This record gives sequence, C-alpha cells and structure tokens, in this order.
Amino acid sequence: MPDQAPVSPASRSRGPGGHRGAPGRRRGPAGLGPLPWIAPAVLLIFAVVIWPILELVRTSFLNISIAGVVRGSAGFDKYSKLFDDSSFAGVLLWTVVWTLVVVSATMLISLALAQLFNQRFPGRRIARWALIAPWAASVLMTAVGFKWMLNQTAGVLNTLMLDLGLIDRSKDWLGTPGTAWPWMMVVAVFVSLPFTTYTLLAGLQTIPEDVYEAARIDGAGSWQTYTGITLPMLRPAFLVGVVINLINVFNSFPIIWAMTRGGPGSDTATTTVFMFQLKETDIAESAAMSVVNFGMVVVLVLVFLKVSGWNKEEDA
Amino acid sequence: MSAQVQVAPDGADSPRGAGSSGVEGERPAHGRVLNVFSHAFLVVWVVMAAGPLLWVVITAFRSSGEILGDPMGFPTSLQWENFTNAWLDANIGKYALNSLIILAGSLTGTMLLGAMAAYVIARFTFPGNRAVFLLFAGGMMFPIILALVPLFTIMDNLSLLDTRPGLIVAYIAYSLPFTTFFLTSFFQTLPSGVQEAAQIDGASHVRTFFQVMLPMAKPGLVSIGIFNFLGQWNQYLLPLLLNNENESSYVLPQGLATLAISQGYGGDWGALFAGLTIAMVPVLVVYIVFQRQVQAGLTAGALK
Repeated sequence: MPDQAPVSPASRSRGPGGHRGAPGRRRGPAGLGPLPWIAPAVLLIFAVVIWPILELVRTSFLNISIAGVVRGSAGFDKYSKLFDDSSFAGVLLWTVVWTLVVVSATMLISLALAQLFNQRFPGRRIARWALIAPWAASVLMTAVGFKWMLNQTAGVLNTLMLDLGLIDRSKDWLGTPGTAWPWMMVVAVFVSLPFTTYTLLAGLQTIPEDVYEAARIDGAGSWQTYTGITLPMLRPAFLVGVVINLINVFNSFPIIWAMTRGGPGSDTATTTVFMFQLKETDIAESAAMSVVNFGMVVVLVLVFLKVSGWNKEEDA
Repeated sequence: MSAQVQVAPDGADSPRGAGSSGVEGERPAHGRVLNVFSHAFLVVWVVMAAGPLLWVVITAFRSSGEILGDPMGFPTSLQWENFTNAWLDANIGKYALNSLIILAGSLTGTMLLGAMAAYVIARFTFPGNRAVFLLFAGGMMFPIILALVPLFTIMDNLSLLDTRPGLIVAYIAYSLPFTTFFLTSFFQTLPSGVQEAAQIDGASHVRTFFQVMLPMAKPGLVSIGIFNFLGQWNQYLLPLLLNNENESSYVLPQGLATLAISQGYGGDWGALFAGLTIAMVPVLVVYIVFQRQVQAGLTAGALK
C-alpha cells in the first residue's frame, strides 16, 4: 500500500456532523479498545464538570443553612423564593439587555474591523497587534484598569473631562447604574472584539478571490458585492462568532464583579453576578439561580441555532 | 504576505502610516482604497486597544505621588523601585512562580489528555464515539462560574482543596472540552494514509500517536496550546474558589487582585501598575513568538 491513500476515508466525514458510521475509519484499537485513550479525559470531565452540575440541581431542591447544614428538602421553594426576589425581574431584564447590546455591538464592530484588517495597508501589522492586545491582557486586568480610569478621585477620565471643561465636578461613573452599565458594556465589547474579529477575518480569508472577480465583471457595486457575496459567504464564521459570544457574554462574570460587584444592591448585576451575591445569603437559592441561568443559556443558544438554520448550513 | 508590490511590505516598519490613502488593495472589488474614514476608525481602534496597556506600562514607572497628582503624565524619573516593591513586598514574584508551576502541570495535562481523546474520537469508530464527542461539545457551554459551590464541595470531599494538584486538575478539566473539540476536527483533517502506513509497518498505537500523529498535528497543537496558556495564565475564578486559603500559594491573578484592593489603603499605586506590567510580560512574549500560529490556528479551529 502506498504512503498516500488516494481517497482518505476520514476526510470524507466532515466536521461534527459526519461521525456516524464514517465508513473507512478503523475499528477501535486492539485490546482494551479506545478506553485507555479517552478514559482519563472523560473521567476528569465527569468528576469536575458534570458532577458539579448534578450537585447543583440537587442543592437547588434543598434547605441549607448559612453554615452549610442541610435541613431537608425544600421542593420548589427555592425557585419560588428566587422568582419572588424583588431584584430578580430587574436582574433578568438587564441580563437580556446586556447580552443583546454587547453581542450585537461586538458583531457589528468586528464585521467592520475584519473588513478593514482584510485589506493591505501600511501599518497593518501594528494594527493587528493592537487588535490582539485586549485578548493578551486578562479580562480581569482590563476591567480593573478601566475601573481605575473611571475612578472618581484619581481616574483619567474625570481628570481629562475636568481639564476640558466638559464636567464641573468629578463623576462617580460606576456608582450609579445609569453610567455603570454603559461603561461595563464598553469593556465587555472591548474584550470580545479580538476573538470575534479574528474569527470573521478567518472567514473572510476563505472567500475565494474569483468570486469577487466575477461580481466585478458583472458590474456589481461594492455595497452590492458586500451584501450579496461577502455576508452570505461569511455566514458560518458569523454564526460561530455569535454563538461563542452569546455563551460568553451571558455568562460573563469578571467584568461586572471587578467593576461594581453588581452594586449598588443588585442594580448592576446580571444573573451570574446575582447568583454569586445570593451565595452569601442562601446557597440553595443561589444554586436555583445557577440552574435557571444554565437553562437560559441552553435555550438561548438553541433558539439562535434554530432561527439561524445552523443545521441546514452544516449539512449542506 | 509579500504579494503587495507598490506599498511597504505589510507596513512592518512604517507604524500607522496615517496619511497615505491611495493603497491598492489586493482584491479590487472589495479590498478597496482605504478612505479617510476607515483609516480614522483604525487609528481610533489602535489607540483604544493599545492605549490603556501602554498607559499601565508608563504609569508603572511613576511614583505614587505623581500618579495621584496627574494620572495622565509621563514619568519624570524612572521609578524602578515600583517593580522591586511589586516583586518583593507585594509578592508578585512568588505568585508568578506559583502560576508557572501550576501551568507546567495543567498545560501539559490538558494537551496530552485532550490530544489522546481527540485522536481516538476523530480516527476510530467505537460504540459511544458520538456520545463522548457530545460530552465534550456540551461541556463547552457550561461556565465555571455556575458550578462554584458544588465544585468547592466536591474538591473538599476529594481533599483537593487548596492543593496544587487540585487546582491543576480543575484547570485541565475545564480546558478539556474546547481543547478536545478543537483537536478532534483538526485530527479529522489530517490524511489517514500516513497513520495506516505506520500501523502496517508494525508501529504500536502509542508509537503511531506520539511519533506520527502528534508531529503532524503540530500547528493545531500549538494554537490550542497558546489559547489554553492565555486562558489558564489569566484564570481567576478557579484559584479564587479552590486556592484561597493560603496567601503564599496564590497564583498571579489572585495576587494582582489583592494588590489592587490593598493599594487603595496602602496608597502604593506605582507597585500596582508595576505588578500589572509584570503579569503581561509572559503573555506578550508567548504571543509575539507564536503570533502566526495563533492566527493560522484560529482559522482552522473556528471554521472547521
């Protein structure tokens, strides 16, 4: 048999969808089969990822004192307590607003950035390095940095605006929800941009040159070309970007925790931050919030995939 | 990279050549002339993205008094003692060492276990193949933050709380889903002929894996390795939860967070910024060394 099989069977099965019965793939390794190869990874995930999820669900149906003593079953009490919490509705609303605003802004700006970075221009390398910068610094560090820039007494922003005469006296940007939310959204978009832009950039680079040639010969304008060719062909990368951002932004914790701790009260908390706050008073209620949060992420992603026709694209 | 004829080769040496607008794109219909507007957009982005980091580095060289007086200024004299203070007094050196030790274990473990699992999932059919794959894919959607309380209890029960092995195990477990998912699609793209040839030649599975498949998968391994390095180096939640007992075993992000809070009382702002700067160095080094692989790897990972 030659070194190179003319048709490689494994490459015929495309992506995650093609697993079932990929014909040419060999049976499991002899002897113990695949077990020694996957068992360590699977065991670890069961112990450290799956087990906590199960524990979480169990905890949410228990009565637990602050000291951690289990005082019997609580049924759905913790869930009703959570839903009746005076902060809950606001937290939920803001979580949705937060996710929608941050994900949409991230996708739009990333589209523009990817388009720009896909062109050749002097200084492109520097610009690409700058694109990566927020990614290389940790999210937490970025958030802390912004917090100090927004600091009421020593922050750069206040100093600058005072000097320019834009404001009369220093503002406590993170002290009131009205200004804290927009600033935290800015930070969230800022840290989401690098990965998203690179995903879209990778997508742009897979569009073959001759498609653009053809469009140009047909006399398509640049906007026509963009909406008619670039956007549709960018769809897979765009969907990946949206899904990953939906999960990350919805579950985002360090930004808000570092900048406002969800305060004052729970006025600047999303569900994950609220869950963390609840941990201080009622572990079971906090677990209930986690379960609700996880359910919401799954529903959100599934709904998006359904609406966007993800599977259709994968099978095509 | 070098296809451009007329203009400076990729602008490596011409930082932000702002004015020159008449650049011919390589893609006529779409890589069009960069107009003033889009150029301004890029400049704004560069300033916004790199500005804060530069500000942190510059501020790290100023005294606390200067910083309080005028946050925006440049250092009048280089305050190297900020770095000494951060490294010694604020224990940043110790925390950095802790981080390195943890990462040595967790990164190795993540890559080895992830590559092994991905190899088998991608290359062999066996009962439960699909279920195992879905386990990894589903694990990506579950964030650490939700499982904090039960994870704490479980690690406590396993006597792994506040130990290095415990933290390493947790890092590995939470990195594995994405790593395996990514590497599975990567292994699927590799030609199967070489693997078959190796086995026909009588190489064992272990040998085929380590001497044939791993070297072939190197680009994918490097990019997911860097991705994991960034994630684990900056990991804050897991150590906060599982490694919070002894201040002497803190990892770098914990140390920085502590420093950020304590400087509010201590007033040593210079040390805080020096600490932040120190934490950035390894990341920047890794990034600069492997930049090309990060880019190439993302292409493979995101779209395959």
